[in-house]
Amino acid sequence: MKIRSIIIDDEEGARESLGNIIKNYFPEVEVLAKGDSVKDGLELILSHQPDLVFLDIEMPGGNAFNLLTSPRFGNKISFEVIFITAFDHYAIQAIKFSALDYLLKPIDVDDLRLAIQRYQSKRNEKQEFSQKIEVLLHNLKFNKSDETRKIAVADMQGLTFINLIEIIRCESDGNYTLINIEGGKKILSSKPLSEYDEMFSGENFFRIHRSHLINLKHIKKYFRGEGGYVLMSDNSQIEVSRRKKNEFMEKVGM
Amino acid sequence: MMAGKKFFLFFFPGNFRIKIFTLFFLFSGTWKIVFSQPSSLFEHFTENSGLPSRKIFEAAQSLDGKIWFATGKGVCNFDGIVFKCFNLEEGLTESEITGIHLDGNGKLWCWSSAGRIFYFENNKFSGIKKNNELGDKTGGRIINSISVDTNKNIWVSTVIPGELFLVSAENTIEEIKMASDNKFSFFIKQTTDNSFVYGSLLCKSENNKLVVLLKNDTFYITLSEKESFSKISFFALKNGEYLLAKGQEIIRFKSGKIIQRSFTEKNVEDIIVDTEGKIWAGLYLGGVICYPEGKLSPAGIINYLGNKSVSSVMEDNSGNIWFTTMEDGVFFLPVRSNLKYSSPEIYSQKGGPKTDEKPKAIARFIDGNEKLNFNGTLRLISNDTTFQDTLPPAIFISGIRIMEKDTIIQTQYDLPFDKNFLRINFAGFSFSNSDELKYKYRMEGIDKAWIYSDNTFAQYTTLPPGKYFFRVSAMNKNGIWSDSTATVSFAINPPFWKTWWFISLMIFCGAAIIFSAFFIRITQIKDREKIKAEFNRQRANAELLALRAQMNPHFIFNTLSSIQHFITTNETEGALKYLSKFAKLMRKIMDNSTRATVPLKDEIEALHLYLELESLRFKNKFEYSITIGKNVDVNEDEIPTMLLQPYIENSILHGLLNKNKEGVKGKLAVDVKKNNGMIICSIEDNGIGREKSMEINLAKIKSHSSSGMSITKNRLKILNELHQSNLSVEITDLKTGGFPSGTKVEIFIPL
Repeated sequence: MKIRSIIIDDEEGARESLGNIIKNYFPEVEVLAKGDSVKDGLELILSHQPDLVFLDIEMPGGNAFNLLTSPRFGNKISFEVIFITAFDHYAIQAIKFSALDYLLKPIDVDDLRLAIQRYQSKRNEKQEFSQKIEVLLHNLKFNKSDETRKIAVADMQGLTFINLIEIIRCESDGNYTLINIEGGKKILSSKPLSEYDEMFSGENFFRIHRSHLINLKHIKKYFRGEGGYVLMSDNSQIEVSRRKKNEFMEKVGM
Repeated sequence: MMAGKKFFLFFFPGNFRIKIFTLFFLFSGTWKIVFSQPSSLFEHFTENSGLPSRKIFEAAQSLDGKIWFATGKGVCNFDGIVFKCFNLEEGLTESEITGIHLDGNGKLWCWSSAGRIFYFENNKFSGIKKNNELGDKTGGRIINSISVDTNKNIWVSTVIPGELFLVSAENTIEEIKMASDNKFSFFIKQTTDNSFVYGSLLCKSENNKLVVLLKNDTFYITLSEKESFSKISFFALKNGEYLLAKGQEIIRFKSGKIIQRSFTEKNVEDIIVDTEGKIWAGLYLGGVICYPEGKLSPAGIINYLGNKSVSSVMEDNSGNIWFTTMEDGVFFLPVRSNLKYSSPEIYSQKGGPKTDEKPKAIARFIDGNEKLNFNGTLRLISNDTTFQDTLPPAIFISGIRIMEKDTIIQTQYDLPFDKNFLRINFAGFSFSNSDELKYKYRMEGIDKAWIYSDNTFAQYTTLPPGKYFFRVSAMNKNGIWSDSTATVSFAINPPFWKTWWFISLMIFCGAAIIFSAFFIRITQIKDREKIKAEFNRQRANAELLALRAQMNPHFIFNTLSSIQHFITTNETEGALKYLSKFAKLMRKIMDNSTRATVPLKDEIEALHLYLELESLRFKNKFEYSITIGKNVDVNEDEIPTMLLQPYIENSILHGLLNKNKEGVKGKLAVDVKKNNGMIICSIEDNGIGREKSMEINLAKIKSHSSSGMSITKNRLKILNELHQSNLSVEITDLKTGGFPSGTKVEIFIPL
């Protein structure tokens, strides 16, 4: 069964090039229609009922999120979205938080292939997708550094949604990351620690050590030493690496 | 008597100012020196004259008239012309010869610092047979003096208290022990009348007494000094009197009776009375003093040779006086020719001195023939029988002058710091003769030791603040001190600025001032650093923003996306055109971004490229025009880099693209003109206007927080701050018939 898709982008060039790439490289994907605005796109989705929508974030007269929040979809969105953007860090962070997929312009064929593969491997988990969208819209509604923001973490069992503020620390475990949450709960994420470090950049998190990323709001005490170590709110003690000490001290304002 | 005379006469050209002397050398031992150009009182001999060393311990004259010196490098003699040295080659086994002595038989003896004794015979020195044994017995101790009696017994005294050795003519060595309480070493001295004087210092009794044995008399002399290891020197006068010097004290006595006392400023090393009756005393670090009248009174005293250390004084047969010093060779005081000894015929070639008298001194030596019985008299020394025939003198303070003003005598004075010039008069009272009293006084608090004086006053100028206690005591000529001292105490108060509370207050204030200055300075530096850091941060930020403002990343990636489109649709020509224009624009931006301002020409070129790319991207959905006023010099007039681009981008994205929906083609007009020394750039569009654009934006779910416009606003502000310039922007909403019909942005750039 072919993947039925729609492309929504205000720039003709972008629409055409994505359409051509799909036509040339991904025979399993069928492009049903192409839209050049939010209004246009909404009509096309409702009429074609696609499986997958390639959606440009920034468009004149409204953006991708306006489209997704349209009341005409009712409570459930029956399609998956792969966001497309030229450059927008803030939106990308929000998308990352919600574990949704995105592509950067100009389109890289390999990235597109991975995104399609991911879609194929979980096409039956429609429920999860609407939750992800919910998280995305929730996070977009609030300002940066707002404490109610959430993050979607994919583990072996599926998706877990965690408030950012509840994360105490992340510990590297090879290619996995062990996330320690308030109340002693732990989640083993299938992403490496470096990805979380990047995702949380600009947040109240600090890579205190090669294998530790901590939430600065959960520090109880700092003990001096060569690098010293910190006592976290879950009473765990984490060493501060010698090279990171100065940066750390600056960050916590000491 | 040998009549042979040697006569020397030197003639030098008159312009030769060399000191030369003619001399007569007579076998009789009488010789005279007359200076052809007597330019100074003393003649000085050093190594340059032929002495082996500048360190001279003692001098003696042998029967042939030669003057002998015991030096730090052997012995040498002087015959009036040259010095002849005797050292290790001439029989001395040691070099440092500390004493030289002529015995009653005319034999010359000397001894070394290590305690070896040598005698002169057959033109060389020989050690005595018992030298090694004597060395063992004395343990290498320094010999104080030796004496040889007419029976050729050698008496040796060392510096060890109470030690005396007798090297008999039969070559036996006998040690004669003195009583153990004798603190000072035994001394023995052969006087000119060939009698021996010997004695020791007793310190058992409270007042130190010197025991002197004269022939068979035992005589005790009370000394004023308590502690001293200084040399004792002794001289017998013709009239039967004796001079004795110990430390800073000189005493003249006749058997059993003290005649006179005096104090010197430095320790006396040697004392003699010359044939004219003058008293000469060589002082340690004090040169030579001379009492010309032969009386021990401070009046008329003459000091020679500065502060040299004079080790001995000797008068030769002719009445010339020789002074040996510890570090400066020998000084020689010739007899005044005009006074006594000069007579014209002495200098005649044919004649010679008429005098052929046998020298008295030699006669005395030869006549003396007495052997002393030491053993018999030494035991008497231990008997502590005190010879005292006078009462101690009374002492009182007779007057106190402060700052040259007499005061009523009190026992205690409390003085301010500026009244610190004191003169204290005191008087001693004795039943015999008060004039002969000597005094010692001490201001406790400033004087470290007693000061001995013949004066009846003590004077202190500029005493520093403190507490002082003055004591004075008098002594009669028999050495009896007053029973008690007369005392007075002084307290000189420090000025208020030297009191502890004032000093600590000052230190505290000083510290406070320094601390606060330090603190203020630190705060200042910190503040300045803060401002500087903030400024730098802002500037770095501004630079970053400037770069950002130059090109919206959206534009870059969207452009690349458009090129990708041409490629996917195999439109090679379009892709090439697009790519080359994009490359041109990027190059322009990079060139411009290295400069703060660029000529208008460059800026407009970049805008052309930008607008071209944007219109290509949006499929010619809008038209644009750029017009430049005639008075604008595009090559010379400069504006900040990429200042206009964000406004143009804003017009396209928010004004024109939204407008596009309504089916009317958008128009963008860029106009540059110069007015009143100001570049005015206006960007006019026929878009939907700001209000409507805002509405649309508000409806959007916020997807990015920043916009080129806000960055540009900040940039303008920073540019104005950095360059103290006055860049400004004016935005007008254009209306036609009450409906919005576009936006006009005007940027005013002062040149």
